[in-house]
Amino acid sequence: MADVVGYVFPNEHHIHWSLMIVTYPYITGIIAGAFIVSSLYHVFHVKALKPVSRFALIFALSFGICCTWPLLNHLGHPERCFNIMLTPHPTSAMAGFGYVYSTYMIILLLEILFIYRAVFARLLPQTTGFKATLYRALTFGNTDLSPATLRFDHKVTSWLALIGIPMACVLHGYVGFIFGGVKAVHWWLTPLMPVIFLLSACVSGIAGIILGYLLVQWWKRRPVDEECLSTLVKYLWGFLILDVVLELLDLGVHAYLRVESWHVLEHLISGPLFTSFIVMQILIFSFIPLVILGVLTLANVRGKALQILATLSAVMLLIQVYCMRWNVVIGGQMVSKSGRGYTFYHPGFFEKEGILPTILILLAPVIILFFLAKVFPLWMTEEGQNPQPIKNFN
Amino acid sequence: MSERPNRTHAKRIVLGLILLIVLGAVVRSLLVPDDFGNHGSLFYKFYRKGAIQDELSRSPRHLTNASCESCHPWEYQLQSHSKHRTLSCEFCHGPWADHVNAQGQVIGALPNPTDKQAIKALCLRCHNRAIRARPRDPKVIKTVLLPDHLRQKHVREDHACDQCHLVHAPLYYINQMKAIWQNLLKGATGE
Amino acid sequence: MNKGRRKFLGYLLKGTAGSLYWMLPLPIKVPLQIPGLGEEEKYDPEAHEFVFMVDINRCIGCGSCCVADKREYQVPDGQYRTWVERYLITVDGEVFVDSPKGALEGYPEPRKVEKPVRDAFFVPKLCNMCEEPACVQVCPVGATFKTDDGFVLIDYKRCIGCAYCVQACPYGVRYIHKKKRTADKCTWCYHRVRRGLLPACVNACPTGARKFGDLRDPDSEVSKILRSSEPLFVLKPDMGTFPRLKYLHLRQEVI
Repeated sequence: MADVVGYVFPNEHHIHWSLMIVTYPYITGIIAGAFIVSSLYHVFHVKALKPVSRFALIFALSFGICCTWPLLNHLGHPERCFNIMLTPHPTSAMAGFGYVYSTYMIILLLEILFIYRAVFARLLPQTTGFKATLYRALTFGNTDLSPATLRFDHKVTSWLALIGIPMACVLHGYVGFIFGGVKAVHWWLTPLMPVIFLLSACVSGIAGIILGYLLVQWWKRRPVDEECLSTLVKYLWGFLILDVVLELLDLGVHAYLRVESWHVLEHLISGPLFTSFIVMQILIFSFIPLVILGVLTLANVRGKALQILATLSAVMLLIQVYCMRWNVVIGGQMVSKSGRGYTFYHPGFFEKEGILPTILILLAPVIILFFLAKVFPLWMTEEGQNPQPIKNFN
Repeated sequence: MSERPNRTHAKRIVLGLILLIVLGAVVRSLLVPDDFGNHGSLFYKFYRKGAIQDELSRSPRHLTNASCESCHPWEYQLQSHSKHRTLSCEFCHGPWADHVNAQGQVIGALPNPTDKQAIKALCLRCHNRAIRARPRDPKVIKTVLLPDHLRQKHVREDHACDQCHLVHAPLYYINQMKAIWQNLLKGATGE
Repeated sequence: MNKGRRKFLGYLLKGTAGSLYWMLPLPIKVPLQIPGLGEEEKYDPEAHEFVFMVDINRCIGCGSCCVADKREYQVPDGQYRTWVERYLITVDGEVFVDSPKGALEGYPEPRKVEKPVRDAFFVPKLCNMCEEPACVQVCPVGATFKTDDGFVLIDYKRCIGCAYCVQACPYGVRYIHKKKRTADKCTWCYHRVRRGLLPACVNACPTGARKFGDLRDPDSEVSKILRSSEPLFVLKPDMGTFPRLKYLHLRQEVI
């Protein structure tokens, strides 16, 4: 499966953290990023993002449901996965996963419930059958639509979003720490790792929201809210600048200090990681979107051009972040701890942790989102058909 | 202000969360083994004490050379007084556990390499001078270069090592020959 | 008063734990290789301090240790609890390292190096049994730990097989066992040591390159070496793991 250059320790011929561990931070990144988009509206009152604020939450939820799948597929004993919550080791970075993930998911669910309670209450009279039962259950028996109750819901939502931001940062920053805290792997060992993970999470999350929003609007033949799209593009550009700058800073510090480990990493970057890191992650999928987004923002492009270029850069950035996850996770393991060799990694298509399971796991959130959208109305416009006028709620 | 918000849903949700936490705590206390916890250090000794017993319940598969003596006294005597006394019987013959069970019954025959190539491969694992990195100083073992060694000793090059060297006591025949030769010489000069 | 109570609790604990530690079964009675162990009625883990020493100058690269280890634990092919590396250092400082099949078949062939060789030696590798093991620190479920007598062991019943410890070990001694699907590594043959036997690799080593013993026993070879002025090294000291595996005559080229 893996071939080798130079001398690597005999146990290192096998790459232990595979495509699944590349996919896992990718998915948590998208969750964190999407949540931050919705928080920009709910907490920071970026009004332009109102059209996607709910979509972002349900988007985060559908990815959140699939977040543990790659991990479970990777574990040697997935049936023991709850050990991480039963006996979390106080000194292990990874031990936090169970509690951080569950807390985050609960906050996300609560926020969704408080936002949608009023929506369901309003939709209840028009719905029948199973859906009505579901809606009634999700309102928790409170269909009150008085302004005081709506205000209360709104207040709770804001607080949840406020707690949710640090939680989303912790959830993803800590994934970065899992890597940044491994002293034996020079490629990972940097305090910048959590920050880089967080910023790239924002990039992938916003890019995912842009892509999802545009695809849905095109598919439903509805007009795109240009103000919203252009705001998203601005945020995407901002986060991308920070992300790329920090990624290059990390590399640059390594390269400038030229300590012992650099002489190993140098050959990693110019050798096994050259295509996926230098060519793909940096040259193609970072710089081109950086330029496109810069032009879109500075020249204030609107119309069809905005939509097409935004889609293009969103797709490119989704690939960039996947490349980044690959280069971190796989790249770190390519360097032998003997400092004298490199292991290559070629995932198989059908194997347990191969390409096919990865594709399925990455498709699953989209399918889940499709079904969630049948229950949770994603767009404010859908309620335009609602007889009761909606004002002052969230 | 004028009217109070209806908080039924929030109360129910909070109640549900509390139930969830309590349920989680109960399940956790049921599932975590009693001997799991801090046994001296949260950093390095946070574990299940029974794991040590689990590790100890492994039965050794290798024993010592002395354990072979009771059934193979001849080989043991030869080997334990020879240059090869530091070798483990089980290295060439396989582990004890494949041969005798815990009740002392023989459960299988261990391999007894007698084939020319097998013998040669076993001997050359240690005695091959062609391999660099054999320590010279201090001189740890005697190494030979094949086929030079065979030429030097004026024997055919397809000779197996055990044709001159008894594997359990490599110098046994050679010392015997030397003794006979000495006696012969002594006899010759004494006459 | 507090101290007295703690002492009393200590006795109580040792008493109950000690009863578990009585006389571990051996297939047959054999003369024990580690004096004092295996025969004592109650084993006090804190009264022992085991160290492993490897003498680079005595290793001949025969691979007996690797074979013994593989058989003792029935280690799957392609995974290694211990292995032996061959180092060749040329006069201009270039280092050539190899370890075909982890030296399971020894080194049947010499390695061809064009330049003149300045130094050549074998380095056996195994678990370093760190005082501050990185693998234990990162295990999310407490499935690996340090015993009171200094061994780093794995709880195979609680390990979830996440491989974080594999990443964290600076020495590359850990792997995910193909059949058990949990982490696995060298244990310095804890089950043998506690029965008074030497680790399988030490028992198999024909030249005494591998040494194992109790530092608290002043007559053991290891404590004699430790009291002598022989140069002792550990691997990757900058990792701050404080390995208990010491190397005699280690060269700085060894990583």
